[in-house]
Amino acid sequence: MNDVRHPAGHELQAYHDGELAAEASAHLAAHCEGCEACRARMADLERVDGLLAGIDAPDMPRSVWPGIAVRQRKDAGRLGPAFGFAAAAACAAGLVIGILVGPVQFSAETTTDEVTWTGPSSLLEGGSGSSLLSVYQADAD
Amino acid sequence: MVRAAEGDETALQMLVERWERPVFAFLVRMLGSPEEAEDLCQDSFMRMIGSAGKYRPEGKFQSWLFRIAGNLARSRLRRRKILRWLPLANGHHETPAADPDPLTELESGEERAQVRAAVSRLPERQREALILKQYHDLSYQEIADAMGATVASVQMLLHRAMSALRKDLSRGRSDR
Repeated sequence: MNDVRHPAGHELQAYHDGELAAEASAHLAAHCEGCEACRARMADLERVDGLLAGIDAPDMPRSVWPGIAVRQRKDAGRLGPAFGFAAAAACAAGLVIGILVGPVQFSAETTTDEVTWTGPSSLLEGGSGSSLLSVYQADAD
Repeated sequence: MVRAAEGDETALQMLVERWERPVFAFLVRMLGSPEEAEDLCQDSFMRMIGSAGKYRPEGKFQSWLFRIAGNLARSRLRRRKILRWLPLANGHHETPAADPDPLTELESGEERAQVRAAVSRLPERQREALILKQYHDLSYQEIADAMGATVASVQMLLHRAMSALRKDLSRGRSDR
């Protein structure tokens, strides 16, 4: 055996994956050449690698692009093309806030200014409530 | 990506069509369900669009995209765990999510089914590192970028994943 210290498992793994620097790799190769135990460990890695290689992922049933395009255009149409990307994030945030703070009741007779807020009153203070409501309302459209 | 981020829909379509299959394959391996993988694949791209402003062209796009998909996959797996352990209220009983994953049922070869099941039993982060290395050919550095980890921890994750698989599969064979 060329080297009395056997490489640690993660070192052998990195060697197997070709992730060691040239010098360390050469050192480990020399060790394996004279060490039956480490050659057996390398063979184990190869075997598991081979088994993993035989596992295919199923084919994708359809492209996700049409669904993305619809969501994109819907968002862009609402807020203008310049805000297309920001709109997706704003809608998601609005939905999350809506779920977290509870329902806001809208009446068919009320105007936008007369909506009844049933969430925590603190959220309406300091003007933050109106923007919150407008996001929520935009999602409800 | 830069053109897509600026609102060029054709560029965005090309980007999605170039990367949707790898993202879907990654998600299906993480989650075990093609239906969930398809949903999250679309969500990954929507989130990518939403985070386009954070993308830095000098970084590798693949690692960034897998990081988004990986975050979504992990949160879906966490939600599954919560649902599985949530006390059932009002006498309502639901059948818990099937385990092992539904893909196993579709597998024809017994050995492949065993390997797939062994991979699905790995801890999430080990599984994620293994999938990115094995099936997407990412380097340790790229995996580290995708997982928000260090190269050293990726090295340990992969070592542990391979050791666990070796033990699991050896046990499966000796049980026959």
